[in-house]
Amino acid sequence: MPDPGFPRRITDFRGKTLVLTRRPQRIVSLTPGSTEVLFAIGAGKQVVGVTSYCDYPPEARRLPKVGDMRTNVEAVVALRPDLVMADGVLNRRFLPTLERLKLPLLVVAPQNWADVAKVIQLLGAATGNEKRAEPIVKQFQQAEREARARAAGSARPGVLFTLNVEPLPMWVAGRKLFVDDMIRMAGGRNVAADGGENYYPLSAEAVITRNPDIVITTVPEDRLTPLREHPVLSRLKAVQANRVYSVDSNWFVRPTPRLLKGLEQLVTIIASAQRR
Amino acid sequence: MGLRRHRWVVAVILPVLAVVTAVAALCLGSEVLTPQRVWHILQQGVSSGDSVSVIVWELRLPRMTMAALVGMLLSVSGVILQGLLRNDLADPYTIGVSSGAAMGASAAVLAGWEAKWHGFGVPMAAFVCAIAATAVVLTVARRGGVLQVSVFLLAGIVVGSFMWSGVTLMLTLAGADVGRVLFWLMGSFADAEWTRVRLLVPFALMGVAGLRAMAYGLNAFALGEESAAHLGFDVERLKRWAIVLAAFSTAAAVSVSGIIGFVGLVVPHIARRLFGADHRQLFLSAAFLGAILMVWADTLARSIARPAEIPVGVITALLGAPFFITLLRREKLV
Repeated sequence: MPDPGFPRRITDFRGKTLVLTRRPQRIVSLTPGSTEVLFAIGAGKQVVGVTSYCDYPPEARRLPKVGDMRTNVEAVVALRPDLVMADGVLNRRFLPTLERLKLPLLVVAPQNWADVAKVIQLLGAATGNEKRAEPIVKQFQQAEREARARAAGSARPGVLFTLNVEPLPMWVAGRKLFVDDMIRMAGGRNVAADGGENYYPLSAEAVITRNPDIVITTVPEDRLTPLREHPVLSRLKAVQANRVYSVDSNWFVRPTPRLLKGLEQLVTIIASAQRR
Repeated sequence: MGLRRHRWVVAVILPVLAVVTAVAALCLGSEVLTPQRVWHILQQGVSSGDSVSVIVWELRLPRMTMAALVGMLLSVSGVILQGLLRNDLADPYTIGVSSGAAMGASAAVLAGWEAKWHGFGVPMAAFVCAIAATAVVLTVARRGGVLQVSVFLLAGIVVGSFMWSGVTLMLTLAGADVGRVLFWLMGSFADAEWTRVRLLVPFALMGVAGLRAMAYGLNAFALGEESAAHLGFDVERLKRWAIVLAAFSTAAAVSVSGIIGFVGLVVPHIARRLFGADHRQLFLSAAFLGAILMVWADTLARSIARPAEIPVGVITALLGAPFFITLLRREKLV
C-alpha cells in the first residue's frame, strides 16, 4: 500500500540525506529526548525500541530497551529498525558503528531553543506526523517572539542554575545549553554564562562574587539544607530573599516540548523577583 | 645538595616558603587581590557585608588550612610507609585506604547521604570504609602474630584493585550521579569549611607527633627488619603502630578531600633528597613540603581556569612530576 507523501528525503543535522521509501513503522530512539518528541507528535505507536533512560511518557517505559547512553548495537540491529534516531553528542561513540552497519540513521544535535523546534519539525516530517508537530513548533516560535518583547524590559535579575548544592563545587549551567537560552528568554541573566560551556564546576568564590538574585536547582526541596545552612553560601542574595527554587530537571535539560513548561516556570519565577 | 648539612637553612627556607605560599593562596583565585588588600582585610576581621572579605576569611583561609593539613597528613603517611616497607613506590594509597574510602564515598553519594549527619555523611562513610579496608589488609598479612611486609604490600594492592572494581561497577550502574562521584574521587578542597578543618587538626597533630615518636624505629628499619630487631626494637609493635598511624592519617585526609594522588608518593622523596633521610628531621621537612605543595596545587586549581575549578589531583601531579624528575636527574650527575 503506497503511503501518501512517501518516499521522502530527510536531511539531518549532519547535512546527510536519508531516503525513507515509506512511513517508518519500526523506529528505534537512542535518546530520551527523541523518544519524548516522537510520542508528543503522535508517532509513539511507530516506536519499537528505546533506552533505559526513556521514562517519559510512561508508555515509553514498556518498550524494548537497546541500552542506556551506551547503545547496545546488537539489540538495535535485532529490532530490524526502519529508522534510528540518534544524537550527535550523546551517541557520538556509537555513530561510526551504526553508520558502518548501514542502518537508516537520522542524527540530531540540538544546541539551543531554535534547534529544538527544528528537531520536532524534522521528526514530524520523517514519521509522517507533520500535522501534529506543526502546532508545537509554532509554540516554540511564539515563545521566542514573546521573549524578544520581554528583552525590551529593564532590569534582568541574575540567575544561577545548578545541578547540585553539595558537595561543592556547584555544577552550573554555562553557555550552549537550553537553560542558558531559557533564562535569557524569560528575562533573566545567567550569571555563570561567562565561565564556560555546558555544565561546569564553578568555584564558590565565583558564586559569591556573582551573587545571583535567583538560584534554580534540580536538587529536590528537602535536600537544599546544605545550601541554606552553608556558612558562606547562605549569605547569597537568592538564599537570603528565599529565592531558591527546586525544579524538575526534565523541563530544562531534555530537548522536548516540556521545555515550554520550563520556560513558563522561569518566566513566573523571574517576574516575581522583578516585582519586588 | 649541600642543604642537608646546614640544618639552619632548612629552618629558614621552609618557613619562608610557607609564608610566600600562604600569601599567594590568599591573593589568587577567581578574584585576584593584591597582598595589601588581603592584609587590610585580615586586619579588619570578618565583615559579612563585603564579598571580598567573605572570600578571604571564609573561603580561602579554611581552604588553604585544609589543603595544608591534608598535604601534611599524606606526606607523613608516605614517609611512614616508604620507611616501613622499604619500598620507594609505597604511598598512602598502597595499603588500600584510598580504595576503601572511594568505595565508601561512592556508595554514600549514590545512596543520597550527602545531607546526612550535618553534611558529614560522605566523609564518615569514606573514613569508616578506609579503616575497614586497611583492617582487611592487615588481617590478610598477619600470620601467627607476625606481619609480613611483602605480603602486606601485595595484599594492599589486591584489596585495592578489588575495591576499585567495586567503585567502577557502582559508577557504571549509577548513571546520573557519576559526575559528582567522579569529582569526589579526583579530590577537591572546594568543600572546605572551618568545621571540617577542626576535625582534621587532631589527626594532623597525631600524625606528625606519631611520626616523630617513631623516628628512631624507622631509622633502624632502614637497615632491615632483622637489624632493627637486633638493635632492640620491638619490630612487630613498630609495624603495627606505623600502619595504624598511616591508615588513620590517610583516611582522615581522604575522607574530607577525596583522593589526591602523588603528594604522598613524591613529597617524602623530595624531602629526603633535599633535607636528608633521617626521620628525626624528615617528619618535619616532609610535613612542611607536603603542606606547601598542596596549597600551591589548590591555589592553581582554582585560578587557572577561573571561574571554573580544576580537580586538585591533576595539579599535584603536574607540579610534582617535573620537579621530582629534575631532582632524580641531578642526583645521577652528582
